[in-house]
Amino acid sequence: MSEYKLELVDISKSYGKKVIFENINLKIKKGEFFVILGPSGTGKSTLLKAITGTVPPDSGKIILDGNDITDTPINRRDIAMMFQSYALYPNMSAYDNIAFPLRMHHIDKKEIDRRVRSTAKMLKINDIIDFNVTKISGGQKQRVALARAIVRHPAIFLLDEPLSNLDARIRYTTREELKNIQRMLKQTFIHVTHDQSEARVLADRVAVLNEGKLEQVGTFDEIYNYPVNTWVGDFVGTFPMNFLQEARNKTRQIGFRPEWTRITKKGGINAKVLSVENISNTAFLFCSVPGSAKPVVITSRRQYSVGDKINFRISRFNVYEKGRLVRKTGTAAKKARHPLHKTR
Amino acid sequence: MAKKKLRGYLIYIAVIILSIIFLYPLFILFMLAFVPAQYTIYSAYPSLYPKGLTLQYFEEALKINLVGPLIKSLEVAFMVGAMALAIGIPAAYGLSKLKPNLAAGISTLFFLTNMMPSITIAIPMAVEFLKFGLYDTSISLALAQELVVLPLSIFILLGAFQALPKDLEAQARVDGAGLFRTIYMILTPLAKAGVVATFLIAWMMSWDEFTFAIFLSPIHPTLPIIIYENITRGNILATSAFAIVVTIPVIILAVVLAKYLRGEYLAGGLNG
Repeated sequence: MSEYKLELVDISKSYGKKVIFENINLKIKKGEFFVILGPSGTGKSTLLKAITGTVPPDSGKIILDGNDITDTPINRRDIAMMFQSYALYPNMSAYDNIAFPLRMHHIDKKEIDRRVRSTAKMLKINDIIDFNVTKISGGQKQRVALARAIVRHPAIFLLDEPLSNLDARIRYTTREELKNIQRMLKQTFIHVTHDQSEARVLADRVAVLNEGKLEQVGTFDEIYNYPVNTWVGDFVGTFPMNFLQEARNKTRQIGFRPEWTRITKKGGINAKVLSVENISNTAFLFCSVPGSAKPVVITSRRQYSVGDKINFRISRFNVYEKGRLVRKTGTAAKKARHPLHKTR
Repeated sequence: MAKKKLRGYLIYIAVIILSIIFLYPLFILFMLAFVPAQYTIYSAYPSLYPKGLTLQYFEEALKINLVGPLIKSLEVAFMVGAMALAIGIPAAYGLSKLKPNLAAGISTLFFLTNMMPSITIAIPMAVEFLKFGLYDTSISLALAQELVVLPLSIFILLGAFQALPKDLEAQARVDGAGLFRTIYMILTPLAKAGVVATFLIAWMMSWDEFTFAIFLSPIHPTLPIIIYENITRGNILATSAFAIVVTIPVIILAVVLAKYLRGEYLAGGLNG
């Protein structure tokens, strides 16, 4: 047995000339909550469908529990998937929807009943279990779809934007629940989303996908603190990472997060406040800085108003050469500050 | 407000006019069947409303041998309907996997047999069925009628399958259903409106099909053949009454199946 639950080896998919994703290599550990994060339309969903086999990849291998399943028929793969649309069978009750995969696997009737009811109870949908799925609310549909995935005890769970069709309020509580369920089941989940707050809260590890290419794989903190290139730095984070040209070397940039700055009375960098956004106790100041076309975002505990002139220092930063990370500085990498530190 | 009301009335007027166009021939049939002949076909200026009523032609009509042809017609119609689904569903499913333009092209090709006069196909077919010993059987007639019915059936079913969300099929496959169970347990029930419409149309096309019936099954004929035979014998009035009797099963079937012919439930279950 392999130590990985799922391995994707060099898988690629294109429709005619349009490349959906290319040479994806991923190793997902057992019991891991793995989040694939990327902007809309970058092949995330297609990647999941490739794992299920509903959209077979053009090349590459898919290895589940050490077995090559690339050519296994869809219905023989031990995979549960939850679609963004939930894809509930509209001609059936919630109960029959949840029981469907078990019936397909020829499980004993009493056992089906026991498992459907206990799963429904766990997800608190036991009172709507006999309703037709067209008659229940969006949140309940989402739970029925989740129950249908859980009830099978599959080798791996694939979730395609499972929270995106929910109202904001339900989304936060469901997100917590999803994480708890995964902890309780101790199963491997792959969760696709464009919402980085989901990645931050849920993921043990995150893969950032952009235009069919894997940009970076790691914990959310790693990706947040040390984005491997300027695109990832820009995409991840409530506010994009700030990038400033280095004075001596035109191909180099320094990248820093808003909270890696400190406002000083004098010295440092001169800036002018363009706008202010308050999030809980912190003010995020959008500042114009000489030599930078884009506004730089910095944090402040004190309030400033638009037009104020301030000075700030950067306490921690990464160095990018031609858009790629070449040196980390800051708390985690302080010791390795002087020699040019290679990260990949 | 007044405008809205006016539009409502106009719609009703349009519906009434259309209904009259469709129902007028049926009305004439009823006139012939239940009004004494001197007010209808024997009068120089037939009246448009019943001037008198009679059950005489109806009694005559019931003397025509009904049972044998009725059973034959029912047998053939149900066979044609069943075959239209048994062959049409897999065909339409397969076509729905192709690009819509290509699928439309291929399903149009199926209509080639319909473009030729049935009579040119019926004669060689009669010869072949004679060789196989299937001449004058229900199954041979059903097979022949299927030629005309199937292209239309595939056409309707294709539309129904193409309208189904792709995610549902993928979900069923991932949940462990094989291809056949996916088609028969998930897709076909969801395409119910199309399936019922197909069955109904196939059934009705067979019910009043004439050309194949007269060539392939003249000894034990179907109901349309009986109507034809009686009209050629000059028995128009009794035949009109008989035709009404023949229409009743179609009306019953249409009424029973009408509630499935709505498509609104299709959108449910998807989207939050």
